Amino acid sequence: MSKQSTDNLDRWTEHFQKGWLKNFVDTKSIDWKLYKYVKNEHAVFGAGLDLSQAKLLLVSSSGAYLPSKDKPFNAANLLGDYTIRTFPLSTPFSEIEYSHDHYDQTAVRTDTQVLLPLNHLRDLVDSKIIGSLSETVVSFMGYQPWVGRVMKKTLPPIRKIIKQEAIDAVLLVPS
Amino acid sequence: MGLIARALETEGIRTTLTSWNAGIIRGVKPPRGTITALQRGMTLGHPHDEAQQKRVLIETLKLLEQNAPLELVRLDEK
Repeated sequence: MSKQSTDNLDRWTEHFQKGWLKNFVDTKSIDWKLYKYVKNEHAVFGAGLDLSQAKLLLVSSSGAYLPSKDKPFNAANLLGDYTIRTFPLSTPFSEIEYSHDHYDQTAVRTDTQVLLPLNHLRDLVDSKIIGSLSETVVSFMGYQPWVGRVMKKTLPPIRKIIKQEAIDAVLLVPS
Repeated sequence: MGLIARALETEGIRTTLTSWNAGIIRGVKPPRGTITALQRGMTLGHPHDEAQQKRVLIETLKLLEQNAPLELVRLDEK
């Protein structure tokens, strides 16, 4: 994990453990007044690239998964689910299911591309705006209150796919 | 998502995102991104509004061609 990616992660974790998490352990209930969203003071730097030559990976926090091959995310776990699922870019929309009940799924069940723009991205490759696409789509469930676990559990398998597929750039679409 | 973007960017992978939640994402300071007034659950646009979805997508992807950090770009999409 990069030390630069999150300012004061140790301090954030201490606040989380003594406040939000302790309350949850003690009461088995969530009190969002005790939760502090990460605020970074420092920016991160990176050079731009030529998108028309780049290989792009789509990462979605929609909770999308394929019931035919994977278990759903544990949406009922109030501590969050930090695992990922993957599916092919060519997956028919009708085969995708969603296990993330922290947002209204009406729109995505009406039109998959409000969160998973698989056809749009292929169109952008055809029109030479994007160089190429990863054949893998990465999905996780966006309810992840424990930042340290995102870094230790969610990020490493994404990093592995990026390396295996020689990805240049990542598009992240939250739900 | 912003934290993952920051981590990957520091490792040499270029990242961009779009969000309807300007308040939280501004605090995270992702390397590149757009913000909209769209709603949770329809981050790229309204169902079957392909033109809107593509506008958000293209504007967000185009940011990859610029050096980070960038100020978040507000899109007039709601």
